[in-house]
Amino acid sequence: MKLKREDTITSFQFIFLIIQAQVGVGILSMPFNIYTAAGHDSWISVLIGGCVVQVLLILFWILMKRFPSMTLYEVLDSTTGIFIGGVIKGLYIIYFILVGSNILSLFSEIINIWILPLTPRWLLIVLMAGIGIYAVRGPVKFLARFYVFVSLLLIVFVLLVIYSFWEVDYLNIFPIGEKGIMPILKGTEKALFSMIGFEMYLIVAPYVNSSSIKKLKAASISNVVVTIFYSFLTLICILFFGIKEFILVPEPLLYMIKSFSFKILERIDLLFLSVWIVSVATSYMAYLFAASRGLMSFSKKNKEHSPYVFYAAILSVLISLMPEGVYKVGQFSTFVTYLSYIFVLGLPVLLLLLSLLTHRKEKQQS
Amino acid sequence: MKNHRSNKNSKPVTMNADENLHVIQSILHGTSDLKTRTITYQKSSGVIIYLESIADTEKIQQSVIEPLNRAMDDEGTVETVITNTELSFIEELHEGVGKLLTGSCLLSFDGMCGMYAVNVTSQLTRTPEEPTNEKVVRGSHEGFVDSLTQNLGLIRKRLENKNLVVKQYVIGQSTNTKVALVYMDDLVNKEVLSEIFRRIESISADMGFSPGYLEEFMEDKTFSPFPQMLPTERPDRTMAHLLDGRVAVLSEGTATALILPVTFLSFFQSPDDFNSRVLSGSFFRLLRMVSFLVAMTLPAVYIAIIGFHFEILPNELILPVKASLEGIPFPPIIEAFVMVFTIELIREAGVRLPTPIGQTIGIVGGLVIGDAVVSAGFISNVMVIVIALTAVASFTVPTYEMGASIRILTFPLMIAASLLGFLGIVMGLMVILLHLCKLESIGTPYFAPFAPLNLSGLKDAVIRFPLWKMNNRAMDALPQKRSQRNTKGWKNK
Repeated sequence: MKLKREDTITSFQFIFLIIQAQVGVGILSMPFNIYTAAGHDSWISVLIGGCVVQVLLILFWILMKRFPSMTLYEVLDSTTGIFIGGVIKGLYIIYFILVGSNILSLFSEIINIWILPLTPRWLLIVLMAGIGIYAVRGPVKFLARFYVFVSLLLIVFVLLVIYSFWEVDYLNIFPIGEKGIMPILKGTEKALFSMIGFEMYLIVAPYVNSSSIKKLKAASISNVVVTIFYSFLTLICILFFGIKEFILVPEPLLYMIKSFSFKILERIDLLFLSVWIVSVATSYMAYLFAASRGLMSFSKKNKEHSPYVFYAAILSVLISLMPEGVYKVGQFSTFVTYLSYIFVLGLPVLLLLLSLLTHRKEKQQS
Repeated sequence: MKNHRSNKNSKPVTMNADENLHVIQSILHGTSDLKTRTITYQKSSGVIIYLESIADTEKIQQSVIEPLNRAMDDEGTVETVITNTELSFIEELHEGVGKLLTGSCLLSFDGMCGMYAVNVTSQLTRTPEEPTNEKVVRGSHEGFVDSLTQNLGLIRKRLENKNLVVKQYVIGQSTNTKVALVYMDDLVNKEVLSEIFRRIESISADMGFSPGYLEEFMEDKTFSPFPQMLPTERPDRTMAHLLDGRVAVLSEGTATALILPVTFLSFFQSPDDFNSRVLSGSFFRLLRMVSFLVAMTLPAVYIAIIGFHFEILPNELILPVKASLEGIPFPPIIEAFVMVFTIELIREAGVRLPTPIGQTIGIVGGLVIGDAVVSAGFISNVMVIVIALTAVASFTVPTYEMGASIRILTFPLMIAASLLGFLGIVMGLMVILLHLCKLESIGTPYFAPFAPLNLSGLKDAVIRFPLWKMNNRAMDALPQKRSQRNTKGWKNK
């Protein structure tokens, strides 16, 4: 055994890093969003969404395999040149910061609605950003250790939800495929947005200390886990609420859990929200890391992302304070999700085509 | 000793014994415990010089004076005559003074260009007793004493192994304290070892008098609330850690060994776990982990429930809690602070007092204050229960240092809970967890085997598996060999 001086993570940690980046703030309203498009066939939409993510992951894998020791930022530099690459890098950083601030503003909104109605939003946002700064400064391996440990909480999540199996009506999912294929595909679009986070593959893959195929395997495992988890949540919500009630509950998971009570705990949704906060924090940290890693790639001499974390966090806090009220926050969130079409779907695929056409590859160092 | 040898104005030993004595007396500023005795050997007169305070006069008589007298007229050099095991020839006066200070006596003869130093250190020994703050129910009742050689002996007695290595250092420019590093050469990770060597060699201090000093000079993060080295007074515990590939640091004059690198979990383990049966041992460990969580979070959770989330309590519980809160003039955070502060006062007052007075303080503090404060209506009943439970839980941690850290961590969590309720607690716990994940002890992960997660390491973590199931060593100290021979060797027919 050797003392690990260099900053690498194992493929096992990589699984949890992607899971934690994906599962986050959106999970509370995800079933509702999909339901508005796909009705009681939402769970099929989620499964299809998982397949789309898997295809994307394979594309990412082909791209990153050609540049094994580079993150997305260095790939951009070496395929599109310093200037155009620099511009796209900047756009990516802005995108990651926007996603981060979207997480922050949704988080503060939900906390304001559910637990602390009088606490000012900026305080919640600043505290969360402070935790993010503390977490992301320093090597990635520490972050990965944290992610693996807090993944235990996902089990609590699942257990709390499983409890509702006693109170569901199985007839609610029938008839399957009533409205045809189009609504299901529309629901898939919504499902994809809640699965955003797998693009961390493009940033973290070079930090993983294992063979290229193992990285794909790890990412696929996390995709499968998240897809099953999401479709399970969606399915349960459909079974629990039925058609008429569902349209009234924007945070179906919370409303569902709120209706249970145990002998020693009356409001389990508070417990659920406490666990959810950790998931929010982990996905915020992932985007903060992605943004600060991008800022680092602009510097020639700096080999650490730590000094840039602070700037990325400040930017995300300032942006997240701009939209106010449920309506504005919702609009902002929709805007950011549409941006992810470009940055998660469009640009990486373009980049792959470009590198395939120009036969650009990372030079092998002997 | 280093600083004597490196002295610039060191003088060579002269042919005249009296002159040598005068120089030594002036180097030691005429200290009163410097004693001499004149002696003649083979017609040349000489002098024996020693420090009465640390030399054993009996030994001088037996191994120096008597042999010299007996061999008065024989042919033979001093080396062949003196029966002591440690004898060296010295040519520099300052070197001689250094020897004198470690408990040797000097022999100087007229007409001899040098001196003999004979080791006659008096051994002030204390019999090994059971350490008071690391008691076990079953198992070894021996503890370290204040003498370094005796402590090393206690370890060697338990580990008869050719790979056990002791490396000595001298730390403290003024005190010249002997420090010994003990490790198993075939197990310890060489990179960890060289890092420890590097850190211990670069310590420059006037005084190196206790493990606490060494710990502060060597640890990775001084301002972390968690101790990064394990102090122990138990030789059996030290031995077990050495066999996991860790390093023990002992120093002269203290009965404590420092084990490094360690993990968070080593502070929750006790030799008792392995002396008791598997099920009960696991149960006790689980109990300690739970008590760790209780000690850290219980007051915070209570404050959060009272202040923010009353609705989380079931109907049957609301009435008694609400009734006890009736008429209390302070907000829960002040209540909790007052009570925790009182308990810390009682503890601090009791620690250094002799046992009978300590007990009195405990009774006055605990019973009288606790009862009076409730009946006076200052503090609610439930709060007293919560704080008392917290205090008891914080003392179940088998190491004193970790218990203290936990008690310190309750305060920020209480403040966070009073500001933001459950959200504050979760955020506080997240920061603590992040800190634990980031902390390293000499380059090895502190929060192993939880983070990084190591499934086979968990066999000896929260619960303990049967010994014959643990075929792998704890990997957190990154030992050279992974496998550990633990098999039953027989099967039920």
